[in-house]
Amino acid sequence: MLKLSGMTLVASLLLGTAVKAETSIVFRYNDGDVAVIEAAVEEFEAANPDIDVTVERIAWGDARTQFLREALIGGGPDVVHIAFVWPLEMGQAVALQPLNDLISENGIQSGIDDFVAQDLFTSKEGSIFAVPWTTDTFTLVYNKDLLSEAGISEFPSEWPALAEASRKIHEATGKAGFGFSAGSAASNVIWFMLNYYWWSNGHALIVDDGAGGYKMGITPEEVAEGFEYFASFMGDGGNPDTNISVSSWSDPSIVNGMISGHQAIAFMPPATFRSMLDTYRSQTGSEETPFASATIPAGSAGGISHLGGRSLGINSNTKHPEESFRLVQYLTSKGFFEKHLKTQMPAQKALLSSVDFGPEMAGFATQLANGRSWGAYANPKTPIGEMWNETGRSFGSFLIGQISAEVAAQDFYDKISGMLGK
Amino acid sequence: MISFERQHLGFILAMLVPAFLLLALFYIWPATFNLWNSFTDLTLLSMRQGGNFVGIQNYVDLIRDSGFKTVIWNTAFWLAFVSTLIRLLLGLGLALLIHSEPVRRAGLRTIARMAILLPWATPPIVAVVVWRQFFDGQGLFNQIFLDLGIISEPVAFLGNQATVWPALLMIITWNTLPVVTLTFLAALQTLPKDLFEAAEMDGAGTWRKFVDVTLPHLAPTMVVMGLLLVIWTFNNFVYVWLATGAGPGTFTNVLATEVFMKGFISFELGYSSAVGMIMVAIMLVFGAFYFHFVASRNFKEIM
Amino acid sequence: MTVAAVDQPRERDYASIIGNVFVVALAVLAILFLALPVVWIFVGSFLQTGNPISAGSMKWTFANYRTIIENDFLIFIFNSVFICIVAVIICTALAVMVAYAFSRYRFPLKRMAFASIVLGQLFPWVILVTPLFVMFAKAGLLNSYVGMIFCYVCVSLPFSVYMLVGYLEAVPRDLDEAAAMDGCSRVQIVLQVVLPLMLPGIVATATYSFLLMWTEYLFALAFLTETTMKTMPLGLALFFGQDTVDWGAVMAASAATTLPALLLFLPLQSKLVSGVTSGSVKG
Repeated sequence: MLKLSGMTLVASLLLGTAVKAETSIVFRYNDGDVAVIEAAVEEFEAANPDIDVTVERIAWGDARTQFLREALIGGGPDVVHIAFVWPLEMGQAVALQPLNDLISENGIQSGIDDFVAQDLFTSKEGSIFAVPWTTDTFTLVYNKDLLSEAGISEFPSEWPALAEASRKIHEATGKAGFGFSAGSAASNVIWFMLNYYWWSNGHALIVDDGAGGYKMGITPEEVAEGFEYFASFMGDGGNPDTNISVSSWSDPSIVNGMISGHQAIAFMPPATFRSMLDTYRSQTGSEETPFASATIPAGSAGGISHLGGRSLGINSNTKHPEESFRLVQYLTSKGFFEKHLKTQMPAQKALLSSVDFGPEMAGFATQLANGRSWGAYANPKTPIGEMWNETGRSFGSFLIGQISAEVAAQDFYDKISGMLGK
Repeated sequence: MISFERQHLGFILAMLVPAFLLLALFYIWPATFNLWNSFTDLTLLSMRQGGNFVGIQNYVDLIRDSGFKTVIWNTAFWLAFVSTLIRLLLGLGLALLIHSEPVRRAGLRTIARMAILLPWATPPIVAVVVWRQFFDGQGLFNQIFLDLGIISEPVAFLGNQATVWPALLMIITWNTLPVVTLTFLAALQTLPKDLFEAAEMDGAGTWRKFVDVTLPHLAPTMVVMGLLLVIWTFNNFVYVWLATGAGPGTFTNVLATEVFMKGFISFELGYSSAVGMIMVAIMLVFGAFYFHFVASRNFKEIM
Repeated sequence: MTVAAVDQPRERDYASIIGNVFVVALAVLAILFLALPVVWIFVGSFLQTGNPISAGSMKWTFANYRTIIENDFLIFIFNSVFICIVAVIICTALAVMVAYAFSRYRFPLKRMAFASIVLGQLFPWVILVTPLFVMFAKAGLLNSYVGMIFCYVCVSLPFSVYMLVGYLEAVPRDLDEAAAMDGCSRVQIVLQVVLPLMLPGIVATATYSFLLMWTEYLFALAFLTETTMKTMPLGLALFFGQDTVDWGAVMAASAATTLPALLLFLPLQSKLVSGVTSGSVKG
C-alpha cells in the first residue's frame, strides 16, 4: 500500500540529512509546550544514539479516545502521555502493558514506591500500568487588593465563609467575587469543585466496599446540597451568570477577568495560574502582582483537593518496550525536571520536596500536601470521563432551572449507581 | 438519451465502476459494522474481547431514556426545521437585496457578493471560536446591548434556555447562509423578463410582482434548497458540540452529539451505534421522500 | 423600480428615495453581518490577546504568526492544500464520469444507482468514524495521504454527482450526437464537447467539494495523528490547551485557515454566483 510519509519528507527537507537510527519510537505528548519536550528528546537521543524518538501531539480533549482506539486495534504511539486516572482502564483494556518486569529489571529513579498516587497506577492484581510523571492540584487563587477593598482581611478558610466573601466582594466592589466556569461540557470544572466540596465534608462519590468491590459513598441529599452550594454563587452571589456558558478553567472570561481586576477569586491548576501571572507581568510591566493562592476551604474532613497530574504509559503493541522504558526513565529523572520541564511538578516525593514554588504559588504547595488520589473512582465500572460528563450535565440542568436540585441529584445518583451495578 | 445496448456496456461500466467501488468501500462496510454493533454491548474498552450480542436491548434502552425525546425534538424542531426556515428566509431576502436595483446603483452588488464568500470560506471551527467571543460575558454583543441600555446585566447567550438556541442558530446561519444566498441569486438571474413586463402592463406594484412572478419562479429552488439544508444540518455535529457541548445540561443535545457523547465520551459503542442507526433510519425515510418528490422529478428526463 | 416617470406626483418620488435608502442601508447592514466575524479574526490575529475588545494592551504584533509557524503550521498548510487539491481533482473527475453516464445513457438498475447516490449525501458521518478507523488500521491507511484522500473523495462524491447531473441537463444532447456523427469517440465527446460547456458547473462543484474537505475535522482527527501529517483544522485545535489557551495563536491560525480558501474564491466570485448549485436546483 502506498503510504507517503510526510515525516521523512519533511525531515530530509529541513535537516538535509537522513536520520539513521536503529530503533524508532513515537512519544505522544499532549501539552502545549512541545518545544520543551523536543529539546529534551534531543538530549536523550544524543545519550542514546541507538534510539530515534518522534514527538507527536493530540489535544487533551481527544487524547483518551484516540489512544484507546489506536492501541486496541493494534497501533498507536510507543510511549503515551496520559492523565492520572486513565492507566487502570487502559491497562485493563490491554491498551497499556504492565511495567512490573521492566521496573524490576531496570529500576526507576528512587524506586516506584517514591511516586505519588500509587492506587491509580497499580491494579488490584498488582500490575503497574503507568509511571506517574507530573502532579498538580487545583486550588483557589485571589486578588489581594480586591479582597481588602471589600474589607476582607483573611482569605476564607471554610466553605460557607467563601460564599459569604464572594457575595460581599460583589456587593462592595461591583466586581465578580468567586468567578468559576459553571458550564456543562464534557470536561467541565464543576466536577472538581463538587468533589472537593464532598470530600471536604467527609463524602465521596465512589468508595471501596471493603470486599473487593465499589459502592456509592454519598446520598442523593448530599449531592443536592453540593449542587445548591455552588448554585448559590451565581448572580448576586458573586459569580456572573454569563459563566454558565463557560466550561474551561482557562477560559478568557475567568483568566482575563482576574488579570484585569474584574474578578477577585478563581479556581485553577498551577499551569493556568502561572500563565495568568506571566500575562499580568507582560501587560503591566511590573514584577509585583496582586495575586496569591489559597487552600481549599475546610469542611468536617479538612480542605481536600485531588492529586492530579499526568503519567507515562507504554503501549501494549510496542515492538520496543526496552527502548520505550529508557525514555520513561529519562523523562522521570531529576535532571530532566531541573533542566527541561521546569513548569511542572514531578510526581515523586523525593523530587517534589526540593521544588521552589515561589511566593504566589504557596497555596498550591500547601494544598498539594492535602491532595487525595481519585482512588476508588478509577475502577472498571465507572469510567471517570463518564462521571465527569454526567456531573456537568446534571448540575447544568439544575442551574438553568430545567429541574430542581433534588431531581437533578437523584437522576445523577441513579446514573452513577446504575453504572456501578452493571 | 442513448438507449441501452450491449456495445455501450463497457463504456458505461468504465464511467461508473470506479466511483461506485469507492463509495461501497466507504459506506457499506462501516454501515454494516454499525448495524451489527448496535445489537451488542461493545464498548471502546472491550474492543479486544469484542461485545456480546444483546438483541434489541440498546434500542429498548434508548426509547426508555427520558432524555431521548428531547434529543429527537431538538434535532427535528430546532436543527432541522427552524434553522432551515431561517436560512431560507434570510437567504432569499439577502439575494433579493443584492439583486435589487438600488443596491446595484449604489455600487454594492459586487461588494455584497464578495462579502457572501467570507462566511463560506470560514471553517466551522473558526466560526464557532469567533461567535463564542461575540456571545461572551464581556463580548461584543453584551457590550453593545449594555451601552444601548437594552440589558442591565450581561447575558449568557449560550448559557440559558431562552437564548441558547437562537444564539446557536445565529452561528449556523452565518456560516451556511452563503450557499443559500448564492443559489437564490443564481435563480433570480433566470427570472423571465416577459412575465415581469406583462405584470407591469397590468399595473402590478412591486409587491404584486414579487408574489405573482418572482416567488413562483423561486419556489422549486426553495423546496430543493430546504431539503438539502435539512439533510446537511441534521447530520452536522460540529456547531452544537463546539459551541455549547450539547449544554447547558443537555439542553441543546441533538442526535449527532448524542452519538458522539455516547461513543467517544462514555465509550458505549453499541449504544452509540444504535442511536446512529436511528439517525440513518430517519434519514432513509426523509431520503425516500426527497428522492420521490424532488430528485426524480427534477431529473425526469434521465430516469 | 426603475427611474420614476416624470409625470408621477412628487410624494411618490420621496417615498421611492426613502425606500431606496432603506434598501441600501439594509444591504450595508447585511454586508457588515457577513464580514464582521472575518474582519475580527484578521484584526485579532495581529493582537497579543487575540481579542479586539478584550482588556489589555492593543499593541500590534506578528508574534502570533511566529508562534503558529514555530508550531509546524506551514506543514499543516501544505498537507491541507495537497490532500484537498488531489481529492478535489479525483472527486470531480469521477463525478463527471458518473454524471455523464447517468445523463446520457439508459441502463439497467439506473434508478437504483441514482437513488443510492442521493442517499449517500444523507449518511451521518459521525457513525462512520470508528468502523473506518478499524478498516484504515488494517489497510495501513492511518497517517497517510492516500487514506485521507480516499475519505474526502467519498465524502463529497455523492453531492458532486448530483450537482453535475443537473448541469449536464443544461448541455443539449444534440451536441453529443452531432459530434458522434462526425466520428468522435465517446471519450473525445466528453473531453472536447461536453467538458468545456459544463465548465462553470465543474468550477462550482469543485469549489463546494474543496470547502467541504478544507474544513473537515472529524475524520482528520481520527486518522491523522503524526504531527507531519496533520491538516489545518487539527493544527488549529491544538492551540486550545487544557490549562492555557493562546488566543493570539488561535486567531492567527484561524486567519491562516480562512485565507487560502478566500484567495481561491474571490477570483471565482462571478462564476460561483452563476454556478453554485443552480445545476441541482433547476426547477
